[in-house]
Amino acid sequence: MKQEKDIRKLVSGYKVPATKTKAEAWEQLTRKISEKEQPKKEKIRRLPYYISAAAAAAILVIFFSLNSLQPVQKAQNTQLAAQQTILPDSSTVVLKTNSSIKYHERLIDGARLVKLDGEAFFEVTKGKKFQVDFPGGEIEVLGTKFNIQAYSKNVGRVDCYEGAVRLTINKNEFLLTRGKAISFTPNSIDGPFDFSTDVVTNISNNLYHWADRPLREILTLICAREGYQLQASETILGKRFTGSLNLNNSKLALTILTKAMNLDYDLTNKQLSIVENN
Amino acid sequence: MPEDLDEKEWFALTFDKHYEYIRNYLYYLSGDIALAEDLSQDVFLQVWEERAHVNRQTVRSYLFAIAQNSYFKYHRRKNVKLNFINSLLNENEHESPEFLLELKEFGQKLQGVIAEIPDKTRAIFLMSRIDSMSYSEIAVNLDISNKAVEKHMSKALKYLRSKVDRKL
Repeated sequence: MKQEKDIRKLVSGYKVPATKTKAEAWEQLTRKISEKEQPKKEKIRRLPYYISAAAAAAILVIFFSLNSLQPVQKAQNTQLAAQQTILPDSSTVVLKTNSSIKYHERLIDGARLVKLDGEAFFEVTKGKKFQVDFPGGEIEVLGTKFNIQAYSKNVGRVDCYEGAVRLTINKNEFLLTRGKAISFTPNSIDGPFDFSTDVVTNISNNLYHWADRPLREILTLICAREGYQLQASETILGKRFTGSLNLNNSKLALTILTKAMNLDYDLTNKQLSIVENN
Repeated sequence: MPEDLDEKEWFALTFDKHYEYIRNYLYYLSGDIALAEDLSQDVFLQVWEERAHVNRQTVRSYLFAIAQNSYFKYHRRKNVKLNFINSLLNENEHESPEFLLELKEFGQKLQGVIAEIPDKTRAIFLMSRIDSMSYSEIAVNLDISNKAVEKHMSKALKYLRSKVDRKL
């Protein structure tokens, strides 16, 4: 029993090996409390990657929809007379008959984008990149005067009256300078060849001048303007013509052309057939 | 404790009154003083956060309950090693060195034996002996009956007796 008493005495004398006093513990506790109750610092929240991705996608979508919401100016000319349109950047476009353009400015860099169907003469003011998409190719300019004939992919022509234009046709790049023109079909490219820039004064009426150009070019232009279907042999289409024609009256023009080339034409139901004059 | 005390005053008083008992209780359970002190902080922090809902009359047993739960739930130690400071050793400086050495060795062995006692029984035994709590006080603190405290005590003493008699 003595031993048990010893034990009891011994155990009662034990002390917990505290590393800090009550005061220290209290100080620590109050510090913790005040830290906790301080207005929480704004944590930088890491968003899950899929939310970031979704946000990025949303921004892209918004951006592109804004871009497509950029006002698009449209102009169309169904009259025989050429029609002058002034674009928002104060460039002028002379639209020939049976032609239309759409114009808008890209949001991201302010580039001026034009989509052309038909024939038009452009007088572009200096400024942001000016690009014309037309059937069969595209053209990029800064400030210049040029004419595009592109009613369809099958045949077209670009004439540069001033400055220079960079032209992409069938993935080939050309640089046209003043007085140079290029004519193209899906399979072939003719030029660049010289033409007379003097005719620029006549561009807004329907007087056309050709210098040693194949009949294909002239006849397809007339047909595109009038909505005719062309029927002619390759030898006829390959014949070359030099001269001026006023296309205000296409029938008169056709008569003059065929007379000059010693040909004959027949026009029924918008079917234009050109034959040798026998 | 008066009900109308300011929250901060009440909390400070509560801490002052119970901190050491809570820390000791956690030490008796774990044998790890760093853990016991950390857990005590957490216990009081929790009570501070719940201060609006805590029943001030029974806060002591609530503190013990939080301490016990958090220890058994997340921090339970498998091998408890007690390392009490033996105040007798310091008090009995006039004793012979041989006796002190003997006492020290005996003390170490005793602590080892105490550590072998099941956690809750050990804690109750030590609360009674070291913190000089009455059985009914312990019963209130741990929310158990007086009989249960008595049982734990006799179990602890029986174990000690058997071990110490045989080994020492």
